[in-house]
Amino acid sequence: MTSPAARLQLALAPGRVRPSRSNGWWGMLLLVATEAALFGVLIASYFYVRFKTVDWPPDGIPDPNVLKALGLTALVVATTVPIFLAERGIRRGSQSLLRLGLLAATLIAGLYTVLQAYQLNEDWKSFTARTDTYGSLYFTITGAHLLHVGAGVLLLGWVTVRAWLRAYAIDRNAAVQVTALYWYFVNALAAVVFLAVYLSPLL
Amino acid sequence: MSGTRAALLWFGLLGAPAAWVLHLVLGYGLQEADCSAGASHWGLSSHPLEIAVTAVAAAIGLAAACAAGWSWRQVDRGSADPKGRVGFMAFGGIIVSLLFLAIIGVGGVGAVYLHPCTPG
Amino acid sequence: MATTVERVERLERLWEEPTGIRTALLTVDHKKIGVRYLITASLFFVAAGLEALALRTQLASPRNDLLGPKTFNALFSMHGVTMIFLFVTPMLSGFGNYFVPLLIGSRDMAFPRLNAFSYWVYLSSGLFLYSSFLFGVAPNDGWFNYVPLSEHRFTPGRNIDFYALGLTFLAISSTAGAINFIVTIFRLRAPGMSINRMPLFCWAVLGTSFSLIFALPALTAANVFLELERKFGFHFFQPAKGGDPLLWQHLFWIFGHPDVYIIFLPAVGIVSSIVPVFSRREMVAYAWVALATIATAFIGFGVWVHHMFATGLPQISMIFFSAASLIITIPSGVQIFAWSATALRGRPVLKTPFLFVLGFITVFVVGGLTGVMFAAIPFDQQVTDSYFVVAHFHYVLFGGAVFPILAAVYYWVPKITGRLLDERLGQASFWLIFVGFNLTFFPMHISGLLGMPRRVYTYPDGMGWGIYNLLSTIGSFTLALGILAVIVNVVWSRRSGEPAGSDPWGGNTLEWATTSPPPHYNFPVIPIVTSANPNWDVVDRLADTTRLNRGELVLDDGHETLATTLLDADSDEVLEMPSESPWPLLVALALSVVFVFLLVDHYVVAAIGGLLTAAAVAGWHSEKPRIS
Repeated sequence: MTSPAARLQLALAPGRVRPSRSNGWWGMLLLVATEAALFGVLIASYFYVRFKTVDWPPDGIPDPNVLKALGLTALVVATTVPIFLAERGIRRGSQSLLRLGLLAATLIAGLYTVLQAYQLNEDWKSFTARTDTYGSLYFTITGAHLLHVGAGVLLLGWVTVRAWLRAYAIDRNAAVQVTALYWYFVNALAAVVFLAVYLSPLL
Repeated sequence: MSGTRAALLWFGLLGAPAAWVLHLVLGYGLQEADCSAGASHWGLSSHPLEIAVTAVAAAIGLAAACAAGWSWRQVDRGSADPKGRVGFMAFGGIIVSLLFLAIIGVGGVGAVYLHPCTPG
Repeated sequence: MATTVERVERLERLWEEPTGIRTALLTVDHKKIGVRYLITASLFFVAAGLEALALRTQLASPRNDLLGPKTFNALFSMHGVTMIFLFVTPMLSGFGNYFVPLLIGSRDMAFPRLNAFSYWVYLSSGLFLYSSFLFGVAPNDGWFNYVPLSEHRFTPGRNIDFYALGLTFLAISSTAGAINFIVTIFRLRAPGMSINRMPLFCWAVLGTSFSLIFALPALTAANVFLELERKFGFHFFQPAKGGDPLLWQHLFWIFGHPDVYIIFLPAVGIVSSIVPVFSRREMVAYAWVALATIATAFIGFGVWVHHMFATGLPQISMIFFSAASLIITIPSGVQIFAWSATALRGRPVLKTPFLFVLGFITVFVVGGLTGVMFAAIPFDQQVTDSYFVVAHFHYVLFGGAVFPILAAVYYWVPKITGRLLDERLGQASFWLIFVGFNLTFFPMHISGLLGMPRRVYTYPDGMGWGIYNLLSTIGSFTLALGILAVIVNVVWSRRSGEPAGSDPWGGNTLEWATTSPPPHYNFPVIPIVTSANPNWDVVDRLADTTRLNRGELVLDDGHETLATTLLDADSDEVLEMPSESPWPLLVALALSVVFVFLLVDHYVVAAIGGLLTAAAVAGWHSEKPRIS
């Protein structure tokens, strides 16, 4: 947001056509860093307990359903594509790519949230967080991820509505960049949670 | 600054700390795995692995020190550095690398000479 | 073409805030917020100090019955929690908030509304924690709250819920503050202020803020696990259910050790600010000190198991942490050598700020020496949980943080109020505090080696501990007198102190290049910097005035400041900054609803609070910038 007069005052380095990432983008990057550290600690706790436990899962709890988890994880990770197209689109001025990409991502993300919540509810029927520490860790980690997805869906929804109301332009789209960054993080997290909680018990 | 030069500058600064983190996480993790009820069936015999992890970490740390030293010589020979910022990062890389190599060394000596799974 | 006077008047109109309740609730001015942090933190310091005096009075003689065990437990727990979470970090945050934008030549923090929000949440979480006293359920399991004692079956009352929820609430404030400082320092530095020309206090704040970002999640995870256990019957720490009490210790100390550096680094940054000025020469080995600061913060994440050397972990596991604990003393030593060399090669001015710096060096070195002793596992296992530990950490925390904070009070408050503190009362306060501190805590080394355990509400006759405890108690009251002298000095000087002028000390950094107190817009023109000691560069400061007269980089078209590139601080873009806003307070209030109702098990209302929070955040981001 640099007025023409202000730009005249600045000795902008040659070749620097657009400014660096916005303050808000840096802020979101740091928020992502702290939340990543949170999940790092949760997953480290999971493996800490696992190292001490001879049978894993213990207490007769069945192995997690890897295929179902893989399918759900793939569903949410796939939303990376429409989000990428949307944020790159608006950086080149394309309102249609922005709107359609955001809408697609929001709808799929919403669907994933419902399906994953349903899946966790099903899991709860065979073992709960009160059964033992495995249960507590399983539901805390997947639950925490689902909460982050939920927040992401709210964020996506908000930005989608504003995109359809023509709030963004080629030089005014920081909110889209920031939302996309958060959403990439949530997707990366989905992959990590899958590997740690669904795949690794089979090792 | 060219991509390679910048990469070497950053590696010189961050390589040894990263190597230490690797050393700590893997060194500590392998010992805990080997000595624990639930993970010893993976057969990660910790002693040779501890030596290997220490060697790899030390090698990365040394490479970082060399990269930093090279960057520092470039500045010394007059490559562009109007604000002294590049020299600062290169010099920083040298002392930081030496510091983290020291931790890898001290920890590695212990990991190699102490007996696995002895309670402290 | 506007004249200089017209430009300055326009800046004044753009940046000034009216006085009154409305502004008090809506302000986003970093200087006002900084002062709030300082005052609030000082009040918590007094509270924690009174708690300590009560503890010391109880311990003055064996078999004393002034305080029973339950009260004693709550008092020492809240003493620790208050000092660490509600005093020292917020106090340093207050100095950071006020001075970082000034030090980097900027007009505000990167996120002014987030700054206001951080304060409101700090205040709310502090009140939340202290309200526990009103209900007789103050946290009582020590500041590190070990399981199994903190689990529901051993402490069924709400004490621990106040602790876990209160600290999680506070973590939101600290995280927001850390993000704000990092982006401010990354993006808003004056043109020419490349990273190797940045004030050492800013390096310290950067190290601290990154540490908070990566360390707080471990504490939050621990507290969330504990509350899920306590409220919903989850299992994390119970061996019978596959858990492990050591998991709490690991998580707590993964946060807890970096936390001591979060406390130490800004204080050390203050020392690095004061030493060159009072030695009247630039800092020796600037680069070494900057790197040592960051290295300490980084290595600090790899030493946490040294708090657990007595828990039976395998030797090889522990050796990694012993190695890092030994080597981490090197960067601290480097800083001490740099400060000493600067003072010895300069021409020191022995005024009160410098006296407190000398006090810091002395006391901290003693604490550091006992710290190195702890890095040796066999020694550690002998003195664990004895008063030797209490002595050590008070020497490093009081020496390492409180002395620099007191130095900063004498050094920087004149910039805030425009008036110097009384020098003679200052010197008297220093000696009372220095003597009182050592009299309080040195005897604890001895009683600890003689076997006195920590966290006991009384002790038997005939152990030989009585005399040392009595000396400590006398010392603590002397110390309290010294603190009182500082408070009196600050309050008195506000009205009656000698006017400070812009630069009473001959400072080398940019806060001394503007008036005392600074105008609302900090600087009439964005300074351009060519060295690490910008206020000593007379030519550059004259060039600022020339640019002001020519209207270059005055940025008076709006509520504006300048963003520059990350490493080299080349001009990047002009930013329009937010002004007064109700949203920070509203979001903080909504969050308070969440935490209060979680505490009392009304989860539906808490969830509604969560939705209100989300709505308020949406409102915040819909706010249009106001251009006056």
